[in-house]
Amino acid sequence: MISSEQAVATARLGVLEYLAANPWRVITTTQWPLALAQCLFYTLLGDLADGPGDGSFAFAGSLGLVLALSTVGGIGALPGTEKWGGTFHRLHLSGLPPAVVFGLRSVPYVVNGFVTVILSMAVVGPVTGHGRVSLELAPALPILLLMTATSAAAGLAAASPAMGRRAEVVITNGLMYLLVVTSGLLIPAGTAPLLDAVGTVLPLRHGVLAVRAVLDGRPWLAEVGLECVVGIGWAVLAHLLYRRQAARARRLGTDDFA
Amino acid sequence: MGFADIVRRGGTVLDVVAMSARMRIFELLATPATLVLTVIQPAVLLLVVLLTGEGLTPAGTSALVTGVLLTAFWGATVRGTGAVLARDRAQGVLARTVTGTMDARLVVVGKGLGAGLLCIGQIALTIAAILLVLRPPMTVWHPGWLVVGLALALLSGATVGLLIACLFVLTRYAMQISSVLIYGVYVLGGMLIPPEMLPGPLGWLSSVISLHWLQEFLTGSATGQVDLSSLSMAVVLTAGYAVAGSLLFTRMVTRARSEATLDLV
Amino acid sequence: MADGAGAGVCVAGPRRGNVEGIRKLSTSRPAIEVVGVGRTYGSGAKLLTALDDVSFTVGEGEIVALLGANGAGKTTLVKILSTLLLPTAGRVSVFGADAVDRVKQVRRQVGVVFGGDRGLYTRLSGRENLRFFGMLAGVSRAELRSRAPAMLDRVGLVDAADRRVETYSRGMRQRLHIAIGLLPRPRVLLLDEPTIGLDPAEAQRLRGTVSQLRRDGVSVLLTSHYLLDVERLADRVVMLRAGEVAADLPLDDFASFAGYAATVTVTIRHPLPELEPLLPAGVDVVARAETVEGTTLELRLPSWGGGMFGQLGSLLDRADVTDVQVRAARLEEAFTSFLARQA
Repeated sequence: MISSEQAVATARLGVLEYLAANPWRVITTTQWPLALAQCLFYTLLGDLADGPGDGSFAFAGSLGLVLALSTVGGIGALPGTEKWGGTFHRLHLSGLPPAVVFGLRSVPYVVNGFVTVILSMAVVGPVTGHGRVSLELAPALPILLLMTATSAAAGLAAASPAMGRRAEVVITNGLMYLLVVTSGLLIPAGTAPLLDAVGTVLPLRHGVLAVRAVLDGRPWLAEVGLECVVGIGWAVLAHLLYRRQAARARRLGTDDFA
Repeated sequence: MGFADIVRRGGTVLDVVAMSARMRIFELLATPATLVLTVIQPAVLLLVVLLTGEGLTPAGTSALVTGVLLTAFWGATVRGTGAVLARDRAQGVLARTVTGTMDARLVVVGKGLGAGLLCIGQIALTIAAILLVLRPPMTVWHPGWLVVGLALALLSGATVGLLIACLFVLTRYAMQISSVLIYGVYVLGGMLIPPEMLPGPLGWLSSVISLHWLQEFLTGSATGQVDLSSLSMAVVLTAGYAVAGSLLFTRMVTRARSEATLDLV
Repeated sequence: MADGAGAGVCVAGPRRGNVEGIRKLSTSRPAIEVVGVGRTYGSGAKLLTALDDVSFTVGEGEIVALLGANGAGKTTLVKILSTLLLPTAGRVSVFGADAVDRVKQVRRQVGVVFGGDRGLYTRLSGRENLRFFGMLAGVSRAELRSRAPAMLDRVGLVDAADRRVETYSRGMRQRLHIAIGLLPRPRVLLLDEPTIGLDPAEAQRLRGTVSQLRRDGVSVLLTSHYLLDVERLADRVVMLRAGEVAADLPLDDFASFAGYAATVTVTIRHPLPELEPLLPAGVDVVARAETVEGTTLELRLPSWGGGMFGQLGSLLDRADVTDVQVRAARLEEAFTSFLARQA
């Protein structure tokens, strides 16, 4: 278990670490512009491929993609940082659940992901002629926040088995691109049964369906509920994977996960 | 300098380039992360454009496939080639590269060629595999012109890599800046996203990107319209990148030696 | 220890501040010549001086140790000599070639061994690393084919040559660094902390390799915090302090800064005779401990020599000695004593 003091200290460390690696100058001059460029690219790609909804389908999907880049892509690297820094053994000795620790340290990534979504709505929407859609999406912001959290849980889970095998980048990026293909962000649901089946158990899919339902004025609560269930499932999986990792490290003497 | 000297020097230059290319290929083969840009991303891009679109013509499909190939190649080039020096610096081998008796530019270009060759191969195989599964109707490129186009893409990638390598010598935030560069060119580079889709003033930027002209050339060759003027533009731009990159790189290294920003160990 | 410098003239070098010793200038062209070298970083209020008016030479076939406390400027000087860094003042030349104007010529003659875990492509094999860096240093393909295997054999890495460097122990990586430094057959070798992290056996092996270089006529500039390396290898010591040359001395002269040649620790059973008035001149009692069994005295001898031992022996004959331990003065003691005097 983790006390409130430990939780606050851990979250604080996460913020300090994040800002040390990503000073404000870097966040504002490279990270945010990158997120905007990515959102713009995938929105235009959707327009180019003549997808549904005159491009608004792709725009709404791109918002989900942008937050996944910060959560799955960024958070996925967190455990690796422990490994390369040689600090995991301290975490191990503290007795704190590693998944909880990493989850608390993920807070800046979740916040940054949500901020990039808002920025994309404010900038990319009008630039691509979807300014009205941006305004209509405002009520869906809590759903987008939920999607940030659920994708963060998946990112943490994905990073666990990869540690020690130099495959963190492949697995976390692989998950991210899997989300792009199967979550209905850019490829409409119903296009390919296999993609639909995989997407059902991944984060973002139900959330983006809920967001589109908000845009269309349809009921959205059921999809939000499913998104919560999927997110909790990934969080539990992350917890179990890290517990197993720690137990394995004790058994085999591999504190750096290798 | 006699003819024999010229031949000997040429042989040495080829040796340096070939050995550097070989080193970089081996390194990349031992780096699973490469697969993100050479397998995963092109696969996703291709799936998105082919599964989303309705009523794509065969020529349109070919243009999209070419665009995906060149777009993915651009990303892989910036990461695989430009990041060479960043990786060398992190491993502590940058010092030897720039203080050896061989021109460090040859080493960087060689590594760029090696990276480009591997990347183009992996991207092409990935695209071929997906096309075999989806079997969309498309027009096929003239094989000869396809080879010419890809060879020029390879050279272009290596020279761009030299330019970007300067970035990695200059600043510790080069990885973040290069990520912006990747997507900036994805949007403005005129490969997958045609310049006509962009707001007026932004459309012209693609004219200074060699891969845009290769996109025009290869798309034309798939429809039987060989556009040699586009090919020429790509050649001119590639030569321009080479000259600029060469001059800039030498200046950057001298500056780094003066400011002590090259690590010894 | 043999003086490895070429035949030359002993001159009283220019006295400057605390520079002590006599610089021996070789009449043959020196392998390394450092004249008035300075290196600063930053400007104005943030100006940092790493080196200031540093001058010394290394003769052909000579091994010179560059010593100094952390931050004295040793690594900065090695960087300048390896052409990785430009000096802000002064001149550095290698066999007459200026390290700023004739960089390529200098690089062809200088090999550098950095040491440590970095400086290698860890995902590639030792053989690949050796081949690539050999190529960078100008070794032709044909020469690589013959020399690389021989070099791997020389440093004992034949069996591990095709394994990834990331699987190598620290000692193996160090041996690979040495192979890379020696492969182009440099005339000058810069060794920067070569034995750091090595176990005693590996360190001894490395010292053997460096000794062999002297016999091959290679000039070596060595920096090391392990003064055993200096004791076993160096002909001369150049001491840096706060970016300046504080000493440039033959090794034996530097060692004399310890102030004594050896320590004798003797335990004498009670009752203790009056020994101190009988001690030879120059022998001091630096420590004394009383136990139930007897008294333990630590004596410092100013010099070795048969006479000294004879006097000490006849003195101790008068006592009931239960234990004698003799230890030669270590170079660490000369080093710390020198720094203390400078301060």
